[in-house]
Amino acid sequence: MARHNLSRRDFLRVSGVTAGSLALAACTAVPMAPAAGDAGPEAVTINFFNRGGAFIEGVMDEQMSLYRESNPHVEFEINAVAGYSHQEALLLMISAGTGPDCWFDANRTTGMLTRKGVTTDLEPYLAADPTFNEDDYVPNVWIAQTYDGKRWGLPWDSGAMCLGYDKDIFDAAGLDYPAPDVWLTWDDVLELALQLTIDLDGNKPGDAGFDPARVAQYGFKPGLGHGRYTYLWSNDAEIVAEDGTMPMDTEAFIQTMNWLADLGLEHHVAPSPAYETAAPVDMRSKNLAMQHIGAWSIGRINAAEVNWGTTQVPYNQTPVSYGHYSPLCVFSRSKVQQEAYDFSKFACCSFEGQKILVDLGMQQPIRKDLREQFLSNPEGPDGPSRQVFYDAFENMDTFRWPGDTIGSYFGGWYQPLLDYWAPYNDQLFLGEVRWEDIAAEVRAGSEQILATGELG
Amino acid sequence: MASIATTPASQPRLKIWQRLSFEETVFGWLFILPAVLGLILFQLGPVLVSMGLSFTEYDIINRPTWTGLENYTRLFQDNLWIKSIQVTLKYVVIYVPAALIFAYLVALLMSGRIRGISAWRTMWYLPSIVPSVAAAAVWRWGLHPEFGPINFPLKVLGLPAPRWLADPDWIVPSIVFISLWSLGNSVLIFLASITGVPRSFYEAAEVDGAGIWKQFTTITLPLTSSIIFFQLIITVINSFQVFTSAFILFGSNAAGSVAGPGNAALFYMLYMYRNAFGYFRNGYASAMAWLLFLTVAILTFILFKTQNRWVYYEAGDNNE
Repeated sequence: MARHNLSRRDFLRVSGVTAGSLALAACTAVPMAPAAGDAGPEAVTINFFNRGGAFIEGVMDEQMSLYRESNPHVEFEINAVAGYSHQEALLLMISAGTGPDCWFDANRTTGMLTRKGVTTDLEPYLAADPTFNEDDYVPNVWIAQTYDGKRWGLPWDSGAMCLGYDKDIFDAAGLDYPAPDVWLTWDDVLELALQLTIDLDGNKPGDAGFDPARVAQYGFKPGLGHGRYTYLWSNDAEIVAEDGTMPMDTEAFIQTMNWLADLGLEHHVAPSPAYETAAPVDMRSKNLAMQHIGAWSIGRINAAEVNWGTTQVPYNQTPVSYGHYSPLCVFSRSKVQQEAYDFSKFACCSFEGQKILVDLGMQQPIRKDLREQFLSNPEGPDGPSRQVFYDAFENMDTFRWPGDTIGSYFGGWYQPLLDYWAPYNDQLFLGEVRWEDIAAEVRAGSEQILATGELG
Repeated sequence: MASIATTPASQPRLKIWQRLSFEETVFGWLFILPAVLGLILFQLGPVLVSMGLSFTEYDIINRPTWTGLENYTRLFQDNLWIKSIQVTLKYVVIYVPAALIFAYLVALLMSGRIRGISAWRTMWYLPSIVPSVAAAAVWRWGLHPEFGPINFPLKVLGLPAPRWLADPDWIVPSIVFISLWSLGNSVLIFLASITGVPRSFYEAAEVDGAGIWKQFTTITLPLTSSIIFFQLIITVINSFQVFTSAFILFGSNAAGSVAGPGNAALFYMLYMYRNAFGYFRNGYASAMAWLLFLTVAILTFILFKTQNRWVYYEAGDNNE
């Protein structure tokens, strides 16, 4: 076959024709969808980013369906992550140019996202919203979304934290239930927990032959995440002082942290990383008598058909209560901010939207007019136990929140603080250190984060 | 016009592009253009951008601001960065020799012509097709100190049963162990090179009275040394980039640690990721990435320099 060599001129000609054809093809008009016949609102797609597992997704799906009944022009495009690292996923989306319009955030991350300009200041939207009335809502519900005097998200799930207990386990042990209106002390809860902890051979802590590595049922699980601060305050320790310091090396702070660690290490009444278990230890798994929980767990505990009640979190020196909400936030660069706000407002603040949250056990309602709906809910726990959540949140003599001394929830740096504390806490709860060994170091690092947001 | 077929043997050897016609060159480029464009746009582009970002403060949301060498100088004052280097180096020092020796030994065992060897090979390869996320999740259970299949027999035999993923001293060895579990690809490459050594070499050695050890050290090892070298380079590069297993085992734990007790699992890549997407420090993370790249590049260069001493290439000149 004869060989035909292409000259430079031929090549340029062929290249020019090819490039021109491609350019023309690219410029061809894309067929457009036919214009809508009516003059209804323009179709809007809200890109929503969800976090949490199937339970949360189910709740959100229900809210979105109801919202679309009255707003059929709104479509939702949903992305979701089930794990802990939703902030990283959110930033990945933003860095890829596909940031969501609206997302379900966590109390631990809103501050940092706000400090970095990711969230939208919702005050102008709330001020312009004729349906929003401050008096409709329980005070304190905005704490974890308020920075520099402005709200950067609307509270979606959560509420107060309290001590849940499994009535069946108490019945089996022949013990009276904790009264919903009587505060337990640390000594009280420890005494109960010692009677409710049983290993696989039926031994209790203190019995000869008790094996802390083979515990079948634990007596007590304190909240070591958001719940830890309650124990500190209730022992008259402080997390963020008025002068912006973090006095984590005081006697009271040290005593509290060591007490929490010793529940697992010395008393063996609480799960500890030093004695890892095969299955999760929680009330839902029915292998735990008392658990420090938040209002967001109500539906999930009920789904596990636990017969349960609540009381306030135990104290040592001063009774203290705590609670927070995790918000829906609007992206500062969203092109549909108003629509994203409208949906967030519906999901978080409207009677219809919140009723779904309350009915499914995701929230202690922030709306005052849903109080009866919450208290008389036929699902567990009973009314007096549900009142415990309100008592925790509304009692201004006992309610504290981290950063209330400086008017800013952890100063906006909760997530970096959690990341910074975690390796130290691991060592403490494994029994490798006592808090006094690391207190000064942790204090210095924490204060640096509070002041600058910077680790390392 | 010159072509490969018509180049007289007596003429000086031409470079490959001098041997091709203009037409061949053009069409050659056209055919590889998609790959080249992909490389430039999606790999080289981001690489260069990250280099630029490493001299800036960039939080993804706002425009980068020039800070010069500040990110690089700050790194040397960052205790967590130093910790991440310690953790990563510990992993590299344990994993690289372990992976090479382990994979080579398994490949040697598999190279025999024995009954059922295919099933054996399949069994060894299977873990390497398990996604690393799933592998980490499986081994979280497998290394459970009380009920895991590793510690159970140890306890039955009365041997010490470590808290693999809770004891800071055992965390890196545990992750090495998880990595070794999925070495199927390396084993496969070693197996191909070992079985590729001509049988006649061994037959000749046997005639000369060489035993198995002698045959191994004078035939198998030298003739597979180029593959060992290749695997060494790949393993060193990969071992500096541990991320998935550490992230799954520690980095997404709501209840506790994000890098193990005492940051014992704070691998370099994990800390870099956390800086970029946890703490909004993309410029800082880019500086970390470039320092890692330079370190790996220098190590690779040094390894290449050593190859003349111990790597045997059948084709001759190592540097061609």
